[in-house]
Amino acid sequence: MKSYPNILNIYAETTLNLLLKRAKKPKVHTIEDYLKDGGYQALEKALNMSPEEIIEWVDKSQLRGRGGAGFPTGKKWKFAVQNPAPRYLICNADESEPGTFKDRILIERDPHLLIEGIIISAYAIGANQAFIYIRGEYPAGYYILRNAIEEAKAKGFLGKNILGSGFDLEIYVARGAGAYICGEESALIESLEGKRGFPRIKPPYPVQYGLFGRPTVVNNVETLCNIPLIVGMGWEEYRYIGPSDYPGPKLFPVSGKVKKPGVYELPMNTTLREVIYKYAGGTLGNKKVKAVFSGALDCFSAEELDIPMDYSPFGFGGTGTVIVLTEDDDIVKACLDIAEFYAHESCGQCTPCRVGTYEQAHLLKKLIEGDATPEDWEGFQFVNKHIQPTAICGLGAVAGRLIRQTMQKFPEEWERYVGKIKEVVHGTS
Amino acid sequence: MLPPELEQKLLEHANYFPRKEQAILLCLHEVQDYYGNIPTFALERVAQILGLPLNHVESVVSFYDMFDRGEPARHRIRVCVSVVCNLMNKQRLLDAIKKYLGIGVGEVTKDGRFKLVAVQCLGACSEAPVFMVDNDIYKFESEEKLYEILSKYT
Repeated sequence: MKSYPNILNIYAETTLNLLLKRAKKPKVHTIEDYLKDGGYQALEKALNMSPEEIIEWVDKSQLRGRGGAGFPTGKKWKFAVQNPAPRYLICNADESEPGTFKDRILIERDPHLLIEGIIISAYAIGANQAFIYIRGEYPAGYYILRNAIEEAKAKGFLGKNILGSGFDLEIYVARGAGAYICGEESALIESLEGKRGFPRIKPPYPVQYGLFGRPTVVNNVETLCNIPLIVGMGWEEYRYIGPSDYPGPKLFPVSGKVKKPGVYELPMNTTLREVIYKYAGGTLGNKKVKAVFSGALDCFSAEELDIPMDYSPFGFGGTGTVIVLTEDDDIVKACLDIAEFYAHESCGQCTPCRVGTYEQAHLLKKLIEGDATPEDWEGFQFVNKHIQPTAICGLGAVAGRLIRQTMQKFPEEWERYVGKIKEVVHGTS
Repeated sequence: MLPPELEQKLLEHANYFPRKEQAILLCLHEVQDYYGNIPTFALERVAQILGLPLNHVESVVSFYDMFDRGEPARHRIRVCVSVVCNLMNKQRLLDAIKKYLGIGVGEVTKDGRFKLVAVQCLGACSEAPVFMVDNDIYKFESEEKLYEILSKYT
């Protein structure tokens, strides 16, 4: 047994036994474990198909990116192969959104599922070099991936002339260093080039102008782990998993005030209520749900628990991150955590985001501490609205969103603080 | 000159990727793991090895949160202060560390053994509140368990 830095026994449960088939057990699965379970058979099958056919299968499977945006994976690949080789594949393993820990267990427990997904995807888009960019705070995952890549090389699944197909691939693992923004694909590419993680202005998109200026596909860990499933069972069968509009397994990291926090693999027609009560065991102390934060992105109220966990306009969306707050939790104080997160993670490139996220957190803190003036409150509402339209990237675009939603959905919570704003008596002299 | 074992690792990283400059973050992690921070002489050597201007390496160091140009310590405790750990009362964890080591966020123990830093989400939220010591991640269960864990880092 190889020894790795300490990892945690995060609880995992699945009704589908696909992505978490092995990863539900808290163990680093070796290549032998994976092969025993039919691993790398999808790769053999894929290498006997044409790259075009694999792209067609992925497109028909209706797989959507699991990193938060939900962009159709097949479409992204089709855009990329319109542009000339050399092309690159990047696996985005920079999972850093508050409440999100789904990719972690795939990486730590079932690295070969990810590696097989990367090899098939690289073959499909015609990339001979692939990169995994893993966040700096996942050192165990880094060493597990490095080791798993060596295991795969030794068996001929990686390197030159993979399984006699004539296809060559090297996978490199890069580490981040504590910058949430590097999960944004163009910032990730900058970081992978050895620079500061500043997002690029788009277009051009990475599929046109990516790593070293070459066409590049950036896919999330969970997305890539779906590829061996699609190739293995065929797109038709894959489409039968879950609802017809949003097929395929989805991982939901559940945390906060629930009895059984953990990662759940469920179909996307599951409702938020089912995730909390049927799977995560209900709330701690059987308290009433007050709100659910979808990472740092969206806030849902207790009246919205019957929404589906899919990518529809009224679905849960995002990365599937479920953070449960109950009746005793202070929404405004939780918003301060969100505001501080964005202030800390703004890369500083666009002034309205750099200054705006800072002011949003600073003025909210004043409001909570009872030191805010009417001007502070006005300023807070102003910056909350105005970071978005001036931002290069998605971080700035959403930095005020969850907080704004709570102001609409929980006005009485805000009123408790707004009511305490100090009236400033202006002097007459 | 850097110690040979560190120098060796930096050269390995520099030759790992298709392009040398891609190894910058791996090299800086290596330096920080060795010294407990990023000292100037090591930063200069990383620039030299990767063939990058010193100001480029400086700009990268200052951008990424995990790199520390401040006071070093033998071990780094990272406490998550994000929304979930806060809901699950991360203050108990910070108080327990303060009680045991006498340090608050950003401070180093007098013997240079531990430095405590506050970080955003560590991605293990089902176990909140969580913290890391160097490369290891732990769940905060009780003061006793915490002290037992910390005593392993000398």
